[in-house]
Amino acid sequence: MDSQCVSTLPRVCGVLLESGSSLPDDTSLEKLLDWFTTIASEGMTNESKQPPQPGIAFFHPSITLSNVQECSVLKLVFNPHHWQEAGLWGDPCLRIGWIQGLKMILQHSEALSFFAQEDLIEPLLQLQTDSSLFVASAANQTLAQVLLLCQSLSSVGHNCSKNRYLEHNSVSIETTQNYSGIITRVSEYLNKSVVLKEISQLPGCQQILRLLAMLLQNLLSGLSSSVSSDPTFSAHSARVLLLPLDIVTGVSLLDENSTGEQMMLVCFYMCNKCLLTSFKSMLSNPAEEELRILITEQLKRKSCISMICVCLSNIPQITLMVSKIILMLLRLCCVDSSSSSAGCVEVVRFITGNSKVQKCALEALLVLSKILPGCDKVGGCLSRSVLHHRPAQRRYSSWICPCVTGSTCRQKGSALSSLLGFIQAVRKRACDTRWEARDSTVEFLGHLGGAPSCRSFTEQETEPSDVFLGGCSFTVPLLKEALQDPESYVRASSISALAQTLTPSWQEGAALTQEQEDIVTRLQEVLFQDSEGFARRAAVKYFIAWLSACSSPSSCWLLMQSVPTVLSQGVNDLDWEVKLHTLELAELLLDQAFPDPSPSHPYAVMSDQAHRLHIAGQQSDLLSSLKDLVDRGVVSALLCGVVDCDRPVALKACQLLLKLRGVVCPVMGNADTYVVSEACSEADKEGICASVDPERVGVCEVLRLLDLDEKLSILTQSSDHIYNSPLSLLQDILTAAAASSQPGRDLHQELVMDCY
Amino acid sequence: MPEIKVTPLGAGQDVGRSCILVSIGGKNIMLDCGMHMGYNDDRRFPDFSYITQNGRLTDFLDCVIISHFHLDHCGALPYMSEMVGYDGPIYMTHPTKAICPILLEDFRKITVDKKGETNFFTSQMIKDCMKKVIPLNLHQTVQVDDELEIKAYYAGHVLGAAMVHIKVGSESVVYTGDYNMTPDRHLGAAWIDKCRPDILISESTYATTIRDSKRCRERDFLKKVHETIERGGKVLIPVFALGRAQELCILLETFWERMNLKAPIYFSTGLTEKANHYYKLFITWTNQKIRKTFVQRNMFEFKHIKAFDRSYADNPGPMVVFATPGMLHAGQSLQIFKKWAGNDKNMVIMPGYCVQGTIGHKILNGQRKLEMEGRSTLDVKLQVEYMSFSAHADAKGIMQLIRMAEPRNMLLVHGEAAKMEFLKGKIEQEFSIDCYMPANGETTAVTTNPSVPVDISLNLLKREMVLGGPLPDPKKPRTMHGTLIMKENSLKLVSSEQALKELGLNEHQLRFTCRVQLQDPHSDSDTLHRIYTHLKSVLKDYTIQHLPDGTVMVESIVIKVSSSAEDANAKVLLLSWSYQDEDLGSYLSSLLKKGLPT
Repeated sequence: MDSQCVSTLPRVCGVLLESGSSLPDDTSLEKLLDWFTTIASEGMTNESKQPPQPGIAFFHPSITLSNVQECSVLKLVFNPHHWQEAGLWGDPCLRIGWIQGLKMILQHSEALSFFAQEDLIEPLLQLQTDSSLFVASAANQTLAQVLLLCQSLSSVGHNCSKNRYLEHNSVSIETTQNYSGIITRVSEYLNKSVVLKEISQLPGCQQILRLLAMLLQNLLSGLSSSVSSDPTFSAHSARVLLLPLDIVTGVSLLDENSTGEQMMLVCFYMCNKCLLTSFKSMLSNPAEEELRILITEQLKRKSCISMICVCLSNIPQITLMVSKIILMLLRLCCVDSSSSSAGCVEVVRFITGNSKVQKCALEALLVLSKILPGCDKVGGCLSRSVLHHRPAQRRYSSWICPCVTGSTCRQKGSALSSLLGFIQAVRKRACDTRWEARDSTVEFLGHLGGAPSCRSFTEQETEPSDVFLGGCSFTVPLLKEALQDPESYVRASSISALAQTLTPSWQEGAALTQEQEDIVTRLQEVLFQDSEGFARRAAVKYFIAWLSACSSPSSCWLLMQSVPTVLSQGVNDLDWEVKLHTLELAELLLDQAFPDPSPSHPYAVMSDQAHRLHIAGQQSDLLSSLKDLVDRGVVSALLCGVVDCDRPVALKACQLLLKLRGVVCPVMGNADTYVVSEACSEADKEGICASVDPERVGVCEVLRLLDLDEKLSILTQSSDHIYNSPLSLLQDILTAAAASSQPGRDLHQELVMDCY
Repeated sequence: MPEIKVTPLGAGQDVGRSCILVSIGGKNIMLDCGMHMGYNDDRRFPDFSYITQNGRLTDFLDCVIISHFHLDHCGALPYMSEMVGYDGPIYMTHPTKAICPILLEDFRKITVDKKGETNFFTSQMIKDCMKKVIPLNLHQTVQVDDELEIKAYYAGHVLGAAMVHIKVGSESVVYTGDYNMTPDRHLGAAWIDKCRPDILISESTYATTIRDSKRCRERDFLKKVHETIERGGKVLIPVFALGRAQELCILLETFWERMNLKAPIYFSTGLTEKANHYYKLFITWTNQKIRKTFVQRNMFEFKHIKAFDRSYADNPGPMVVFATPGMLHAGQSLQIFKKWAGNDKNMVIMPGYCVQGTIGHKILNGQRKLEMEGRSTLDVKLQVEYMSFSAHADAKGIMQLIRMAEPRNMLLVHGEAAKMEFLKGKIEQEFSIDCYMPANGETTAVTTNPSVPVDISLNLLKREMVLGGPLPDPKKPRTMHGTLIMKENSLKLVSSEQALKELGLNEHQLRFTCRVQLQDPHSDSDTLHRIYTHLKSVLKDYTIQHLPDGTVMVESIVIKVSSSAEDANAKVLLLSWSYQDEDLGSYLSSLLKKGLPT
């Protein structure tokens, strides 16, 4: 902790004790606690080295539990009866504090014995259904933590290290029995709340689906992040999460020797089985009207959709393991009409008509088609779902696009002829009255132009419809029109889409068309006149894309002619992101002017004369490159950027200038006398170049004068690091207290959140 | 009993991060989705994980309604829809839909300008989120689905601010968002129908205050600017690109015009153009005066306010500069502040809230020495003024709205707990209705008594009239007899004959029977006759017949006599009656149980 903070903290504590109402704002206390927590966690890592500051002992979670237990503090704090008697338990803040405290101490495995001894599972279970959403949710998470801890301890029991572990942690056999008691209590609780007492099976099933969706999500997301790093953890969590499944199905799934992956598969299998059983039962009982209605209602509930979506989203992760179930699900979601009997038409229509299911299914299919390119079944599902679902095409053109280009192109033939109708739909949508529709269409066209599989395909085929789809003749006129759109979002999207569409022709070095020249003129207009940042940002990015895709930029006159204009205009823009993109363009030019030198052979012998000649050659090369850069306005742009008031701009410019200094100054020495008076004028305003003749300044001299290293160290810090620091917070608390004690001053009366 | 549940995720006994969940008639609606600007991490957004454990908001929510464009009401929207994931409908008024993305973009730019900001939405996310928005018109009922409908009302406060009336069946809730009951320079006062909602969820920012008129504050502002300009000083007004900035621009523009002032006024952001464009576009949402003068001169076309260039900051002489961002935490406003802070002739006017951890907050709290980068300090000599222009209803206004809408229950949000408590007492006392003020995460459940509408057939009404009853009066409840049938999801009260006809059913007669044991030493026929005579004497006004088939009939009640096989004196009376004569039937059975007179 900063010594200044140490000296201020006692005064702050004094103020807080005196009156809590004189806080600067409603976040101050929380920020103060954040700071203490940071110190505490830092303290934990340095624990062995030095004792924590006595003032913050209370916030230190690493204090050994036994010490505190001896003082009975923990017993008192965690006894709910104590708080009830004090009449404070009714306050949700206190209840949530109790849970958070519990969660905190449960980070230590030793705390579990305390938990068991004090019988804290009972109040924790009661809090699961607390009237406060926040309390109930925190209680839920804490329960999961308790279960994980119990599970990990009891599973230790199956290998020989158990006794040693227990001895080491001085956990008695009695306590381990308490642990299994906790699990039993939780199981009973789940049993009561999950499996309903009424025999009516359907609401129960509904509950199960909800629970399973939640468990599956937790399990799969947990596993995907932790399975590689800690397989034992995932096995534990799978065991814990399987517990309710165990209760619901009555089948023991908990096998002590199972690994995390196996557990996950079992979970996934069970969930899908539950889901598909519902469908199957409906298909097999079409005659039983009442049951059909009930099941239909049941499946129409949203949790079923949620369940399907979770399954679909996670399919690609485990595709190779349970392919049979997956294909069933996919067929279901892509309306395999052949399999749907009359009895389930309504449900199938409901589920397949659900845009969320469609989206998940298509995304899963897309991933699958990438993983398994030869899989006919997947391809079949994909083309069917994309081509035969016009509503889906209309609603999700932007994400269907990769499906279309990725898969149907592979399928070729008859499928593509139906795309002609699709093209007409796109044309129509490009003139929609709603900007949302126009923008999505333009974005879609951009994806279409940029999709490599589609382009390679169109090159091979000669059918006019194919050329329509991927070729510029269809998209560019539409996009050019969109450049004039009244909505800035659409203008920006059309500029990006044009860049995506034209990239291939730039890469090939194709000759410029009149159309492209028109586009550049329009883009310059956008940079100068467009009132909105989006379009201007996209325009600068267009030139970045062009410059980086162009096979030989120097031979492209239009590009070289436009760059100085873009640089000078962009760096003076009002939007800092436009300025930043302009600097990225400058960076490209810088990299092209000074490509990384190919390292000379380390053992190459070079005579003195050769060395001198080499240096002289380097100097003249550099000088001409530098002249180019100055002529194009790159140096001016960088000097203008480095004094910008927006930190990301200044930082980027500073980094680029350092790069330039690194390349130019060691070689040039004082040989460079190139005049950059204009560029310097900006820096001069800030008093940086005051000592030099503004009419005739060398680039190297300016770079040296700028003190870039000092600037960089300042700029790399957050712009609010001083005012957001703990010291600043402590000072604010003191000032607020002093201000509130002044008579007739009540700022809080007026301070409401709407600062706009 | 059906109930409406209200759970604030934000704005429950606090101000900032408004986000209120309402469950009504099986529908879940999120009212506002705001952010807290005082935090730099995820705490700035409401914690949506509480809504659904697996984070699929679309499955849980039927719609999201945004009341107005202030970030504490809409700032978390792109985070919710694009990062947490929500694909359902989002409703807001046309002006809010137009202005909201500008503000979100402005704030995104300011936020990511600082280093180390993570987990913040991108421009693309803002755009994708806005594509999910369905615009609302004032006073137009929008059907969200078959059952849920919403209707927007004018709320004043800011351009496009709306109150919403949410209705499912006969249950309804009104959410005010932020509102203002007194018109100001460019906006009108809030207004709502006498819609008698089950719950009125109202903001309570100024729950205990009776505020002076905004005009006083405006006069004060103009006076301060004018004085500074007169003594040759410069005035810096840090603002966000949209909202208060336009309001103050109108003020200064009119003042400059009236006073014929020459000092330049600059606006330092490129966003104003679009902002002003929207204020012009949505002129119908402004107040009557602006609308009336619109034909001669559009208030939002500024003659005196020019675009700012950073070189102007060094120009000598007085000037007024609006610079972004509003809390002096980065960018142009901070740069100008640093230049002008050392001169006591200059002035900075903070027209809005500043979060802790910004220079704006520090100077408002009276700090005169600011630590700067590179261990330097800045002496703040210029004058610092705070002016609140926030347009919220005060205690009087809130009571006025309650009188207007006549709610059955009141629920207070968006205010401080202590002030709410005071207002709650006042409301309960004056209106005799329950008033709730749940904290964040706490659920308030209000039981409703939904009335079920039933149609009555004309025939049934005519029959009632024929019977001589009073004509039906909607204000006087009365009992009607008939058969209630449900057809095509609506209820109808009809005569039983009509019910049979409409439902295609046959009529069944339902008769009750009972046996009564009687000691009577006579023959069966004599006993029957004795019963006849007895009943004749007791039941004077009833039709009593002795029929030739050996039965006695009293109205629809049939009485037969038979003897027991073992004991000839022990008679068994068999009574049978239809349900219409239930009372008479049971009276007769108890009468005969007592025996016949000797």
